[in-house]
Amino acid sequence: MADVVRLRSRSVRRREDHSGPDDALRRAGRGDEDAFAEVYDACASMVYGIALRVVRDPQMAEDIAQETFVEAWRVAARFDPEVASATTWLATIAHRKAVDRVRSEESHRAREQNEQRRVAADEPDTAERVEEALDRVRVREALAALTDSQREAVTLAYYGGRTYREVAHLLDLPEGTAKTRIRDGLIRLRDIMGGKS
Amino acid sequence: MTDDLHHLAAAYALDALDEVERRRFEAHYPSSEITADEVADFRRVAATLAAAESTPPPTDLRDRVLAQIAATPQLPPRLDRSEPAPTPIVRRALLATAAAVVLLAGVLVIPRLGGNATTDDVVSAPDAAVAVLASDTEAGSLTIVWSDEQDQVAIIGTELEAIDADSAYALWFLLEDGVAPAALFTPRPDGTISTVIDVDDAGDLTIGAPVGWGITVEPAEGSPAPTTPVLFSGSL
Repeated sequence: MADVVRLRSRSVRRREDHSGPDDALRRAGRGDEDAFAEVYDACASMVYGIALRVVRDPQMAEDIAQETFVEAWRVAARFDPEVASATTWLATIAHRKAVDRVRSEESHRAREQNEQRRVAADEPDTAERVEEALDRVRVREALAALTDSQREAVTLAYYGGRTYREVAHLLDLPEGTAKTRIRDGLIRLRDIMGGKS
Repeated sequence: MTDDLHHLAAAYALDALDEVERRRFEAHYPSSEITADEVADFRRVAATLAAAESTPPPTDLRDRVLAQIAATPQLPPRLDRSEPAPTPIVRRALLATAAAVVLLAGVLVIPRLGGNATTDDVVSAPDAAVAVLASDTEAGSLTIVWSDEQDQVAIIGTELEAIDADSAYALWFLLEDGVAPAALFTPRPDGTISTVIDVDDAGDLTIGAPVGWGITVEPAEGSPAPTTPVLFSGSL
């Protein structure tokens, strides 16, 4: 999974071979349920993890993960790895669903109650654990290279599920400044992580 | 505006726009100012942030997901770009769009790259009436901009479900005492639509001002009245 997630420079990305989850998702688009199980195995931790980070409620995160995969199955025939990798595609669907959920009043209450809860789950195998740990380290390093204010803005927006207006309000910034920090932060992350692969 | 949209691309990729701005952004994207590549790049960065949060889900989720997909029908594939010839409905939609472009270009528009000049022009018409349509289902989103003076509607939508080649989405004028057909359209294979359709032929409108919009799926050649449940509706 880490290979797919890892950012590539634009020219390399275009020649990406379609193995792993990308290929499995394409096969799933032709009704292949076993291929979809491969997609699940490759991406479930990411999908569940980002949902959990945003909504902070294990049960809600599980629902979002399930909805994400069912949606992915439904529209798998439209998946185009030239536009986005399977990982990016699933992350986009999952994050959007998580954000939609968290922006309702009801979920605001639920996430406060469940802030500290974590759920018992499968132990991932060693290789997965190493890859996930590497992902974490790379992202942490990349985030550390941002200015404090860029990091705060990107983190609140993506992990916090906030709109840039809310980010502006929370950080006591003009909206335009919040927008700019999010954008500059993302560009910096792209450049750092893209350059390393 | 260019600068503004550029700044919004990052926020859009992070889902950090509210509903209204999200629609506004999607109406302008992709375009010559905001490329699909730019948003795709930002989304890839976002996916990396997501991967860094990887947490194994509870074990039984896998079985539940696989059981549910086994009972879930799949949408048909997107039309391939290399397809030899457009289907009749696509061709007609293209012709309608082309006609609208030609008409507008002849009158007042300097077309820009990206195909948004036409929708922009309806949007900026002095009498433009904007309606964000609501849907009971998760059938995507649709915004209709109507200029009575220009006799045109701009139809802007995302995440629309694909429909059979022999069907089309139908836009209806909702009148005080009935409906009148306004336009037929087919979304792009990726479920988006951003087009302008001439509604000059909807002569029925002389019977009164429309009060709203409705969307149904109809045979590709259209129907005199809706034959399927309303997917979207909104008032003017």
